[in-house]
Amino acid sequence: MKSEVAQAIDELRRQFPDAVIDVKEDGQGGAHIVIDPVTLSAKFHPRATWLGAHIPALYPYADIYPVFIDHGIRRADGAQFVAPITPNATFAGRAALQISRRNPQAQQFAQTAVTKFLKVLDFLEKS
Amino acid sequence: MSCTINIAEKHYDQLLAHLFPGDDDEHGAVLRAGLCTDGNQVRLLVREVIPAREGTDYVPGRTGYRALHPTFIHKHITSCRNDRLVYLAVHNHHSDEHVGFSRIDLSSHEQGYPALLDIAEGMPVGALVFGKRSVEADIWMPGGKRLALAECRIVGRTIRRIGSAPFRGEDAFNSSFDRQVRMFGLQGQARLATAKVAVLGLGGVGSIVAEYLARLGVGRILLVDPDHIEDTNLSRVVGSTLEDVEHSTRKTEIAARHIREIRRDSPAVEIADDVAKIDVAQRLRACDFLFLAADSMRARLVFNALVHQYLIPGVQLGAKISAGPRDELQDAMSAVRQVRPGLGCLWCNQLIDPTQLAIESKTDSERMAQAYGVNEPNPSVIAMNGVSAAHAVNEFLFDFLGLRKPGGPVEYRHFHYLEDSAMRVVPRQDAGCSECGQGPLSRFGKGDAVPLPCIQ
Repeated sequence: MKSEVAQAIDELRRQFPDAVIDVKEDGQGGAHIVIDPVTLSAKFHPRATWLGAHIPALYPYADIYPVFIDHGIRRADGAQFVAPITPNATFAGRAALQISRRNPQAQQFAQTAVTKFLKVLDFLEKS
Repeated sequence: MSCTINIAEKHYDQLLAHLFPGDDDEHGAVLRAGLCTDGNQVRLLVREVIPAREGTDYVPGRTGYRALHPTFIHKHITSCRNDRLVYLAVHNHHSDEHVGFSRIDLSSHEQGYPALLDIAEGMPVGALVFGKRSVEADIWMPGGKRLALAECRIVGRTIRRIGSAPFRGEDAFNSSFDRQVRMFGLQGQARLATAKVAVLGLGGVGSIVAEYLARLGVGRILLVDPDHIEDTNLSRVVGSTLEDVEHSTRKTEIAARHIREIRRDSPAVEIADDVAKIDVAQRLRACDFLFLAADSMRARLVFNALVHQYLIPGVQLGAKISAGPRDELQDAMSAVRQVRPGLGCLWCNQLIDPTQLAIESKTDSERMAQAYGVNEPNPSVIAMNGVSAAHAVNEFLFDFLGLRKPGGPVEYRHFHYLEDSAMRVVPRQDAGCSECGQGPLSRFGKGDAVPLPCIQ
C-alpha cells in the first residue's frame, strides 16, 4: 500500500474512532475500505450505516469516487433519493447506494480522504 | 567522470543577473539541487537559487578574493541535507565562453568539502563557477568520486547548452542525414545522436512520432506502451500490418521493428508496460525529452511529474474528435502542448482530471457496475494525428537544437479543423502548485528525493 493511502486510512481511523475500518488492498497501492458503523441524522432511517470507497493508488491526485452507503438507508420523510444517489449498487460484497459526488476543487486545494467522506455525508444530509 | 546539470531558464536568468550585474566583480550564491542517479549517469536538477548578499553572505575570503560566509553555508547545507538535496556553492569569474576553477578555488574545495560531505550525510556537495556563457563544476560524491561537468542544460522553451568551453561537434557523417545536416549542421546531428527521448504511447500519434524521431537520427528512443495491436488500429498505427493484427503484436514491437527498417544502429528500446508503473517511470528519469502521446490521465500525471521533478522538457500531444447527440461532428482538433519545468504544468492548467484518475483505477467490471461504462474508444483519424505528431517533432527539433532565440513563451497550440483556426494559449502557472510551484512541498527539481506519482 502506498504511504499516502495508508496515511489517509490512519486519518479516517482518527475521524471515526468508534468504527471498524475494513481495508482490502487493490494490488496497485490503493485500497478498498469500509467504515462501519457511521451514524446519520434523524433525517434517515435507519440511522446506522457503513461508508465505503476505493482510495486509488494515485490518491490524493485521484478523487475518491464514488462513495457507497448501506442499501437499506431511506429518507425518514419517505422521499426517494435522486441522482447522484443511485440504488442497486454493490461495494465490497455489500448491497449499496452509490453516491457519485465529484471533487471539483482537487487541483486548487489538496483533498484528503477525511474531507471527502465528510463532504459526501454533508451532501447526503442536505439532499 | 562527469555529470550534467539541468536548470530551468527562469532560474538561470535569475542566477546570471545576480552574478553579472554589470560591475565586473565577483558574486556568490547557493543552488539547492535535486539528484538523479541512473546507472553511471549523475544529473543535478536546480530547484532553487539563493543569492548571497554582498557583505553579509558573501564576504572577503581568507585565502581567496571572496567566500561564502560560514553561517550562510551552514544554513543551506543543513537544509539541503534535511531535504535530500545537493548543496552547490556558486561564484563567477570575469570570463565569457571559457571558465575553470582557479588553483585557490580547488584548494578551498579540498580543505572544506570533506567536512561538508560529512554534514550532508550521504548527499553530494559541490561548486560551480560561471562565466557569462560558460560553467564548470566540481562535484564531490559520497564515496570519494569527483565529477566535472559534461554540460549544463538551460531548459526553457528552447534548450541551451553550456559547458566550460564551447562544444565541438563530431565530424563523423552519415549520408542518410545529408539533407537535414544542410539545415542544422553536423553539430546539430551529433546532438540528436546523443539524445535519449521517450515516446509514451505508440498508438496513432505516438507511432508517427517514433518514426519521425528515428528518421531524424535520435540516438535512443524509449518506446512505452502496454497494448497489443487490433484491427481498428490499422488505419492509424504507422508500421502495423495485417499480420500484426493476426498475431496481436505488441505496439512497442511494431514501432521497434519499423525503426530497425530505417536505422542499422537500432536506437529503439521497447518498454511494453504502463508508464504509470513505478519501474517504468523510473527508467525515464534521465531522458532528454518526453513525448506524451498516450491518452490516459495517469500517463499525463506521471509525465507532468517527470517534467517538473527531473527538469525534463516535454510535449503532450493528441487529437480529439467529438460528436453530438445525433452523431453530428461538433469538434475536431489537434493539440500540441509544450511543457517545460516550471511552465505549462498540466496539473495547474486542469488538464489532469482527478475524477478520471479515480475511474481509471477501477477494473472493467467495477466501471460497468458503477455505470461509467467500459472505456469507449474515441474517434481518431491519421491525418489529424499526423498534424499533432509533425508539429510536436518539428518543435522538438527547433527547441532541442536551440535553433530559435531563447526566452520565447511556452504555448499550447490547438488546431480546430471545423473552424479552420489555430489557437495559441499561454498556460497559467499557479505559484502554489504541488507539481511546478516553488513551495516547500512541490516536487519541482527534487529528483530522486521524492517518489513519482505511480502505481505499484
